Amino acid sequence: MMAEEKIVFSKEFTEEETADRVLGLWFFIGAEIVLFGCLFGVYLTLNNHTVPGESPGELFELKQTILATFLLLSSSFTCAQSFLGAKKNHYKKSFFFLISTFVLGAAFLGLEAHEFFKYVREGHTFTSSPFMSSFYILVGTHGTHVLAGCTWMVLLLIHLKRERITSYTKAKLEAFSLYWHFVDVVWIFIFTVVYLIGKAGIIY
Amino acid sequence: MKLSLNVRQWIGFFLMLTFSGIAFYLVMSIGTIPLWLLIMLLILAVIQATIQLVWFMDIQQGRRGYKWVTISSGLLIAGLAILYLMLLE
Repeated sequence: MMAEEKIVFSKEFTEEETADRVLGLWFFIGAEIVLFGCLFGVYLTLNNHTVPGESPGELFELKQTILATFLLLSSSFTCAQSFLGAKKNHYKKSFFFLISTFVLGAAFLGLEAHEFFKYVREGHTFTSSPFMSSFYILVGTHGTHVLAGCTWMVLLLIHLKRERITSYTKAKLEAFSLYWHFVDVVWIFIFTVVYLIGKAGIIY
Repeated sequence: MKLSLNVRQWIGFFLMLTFSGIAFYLVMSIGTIPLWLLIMLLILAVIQATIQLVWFMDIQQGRRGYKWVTISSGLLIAGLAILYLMLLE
């Protein structure tokens, strides 16, 4: 006898309820733009306040960072595909791409943790210079958002597995998808402003 | 001819990877950044962000105005914070 998967019936959302939740997330994104804007401002103000041997040019390893960037950009695409699958009621496609997003997000986190660990082991800690403080705060806040996103994804995967695709799980996936793309947008600017421009330095 | 959302997302994905790769290559090969390259790097980043905002972060048709009001108000305050902090320096 084949084992049957147990599907739990979830509540349903009207279109209006889904739209309200998505709108709520947009307001949250507005607040997040302000948060990251302030952190970028702090970084741009303090990135010249370094100690010998601790400048962005000497610290950053761009090959690892471009790999992390590709991972996060790919995770953004798989997340979009997952939501697209949900919109078309393709449970398997949606579930597969959400798991892929989680794996890519976790790999990105692993690379970031490895980078931070390397700096700390070399003695470049949070308090060693104003530049390091602003770097850890900016990149660490972004990493915390990725971690929160990964936790959110685990909960979504449980919901999807139990309830399959309903208007309720679709609304949750849509809200998550917006959040994840926003985290990706922030990373694009961190990669450009902190790593690329920081590593090479500017000719004045 | 309007491309489907799926096709647009595939195109957007490859464009983002390509632009990140170009930015990385330019910095690795040129070294210290002249002004034109700084502007180009920032333009590449803005294009990638725009691809995300337009092709990946969709909102219901009747509520598109809210999306852009939220983004622009957030950017206005963030921009002012960056300006004040840099002037403070």
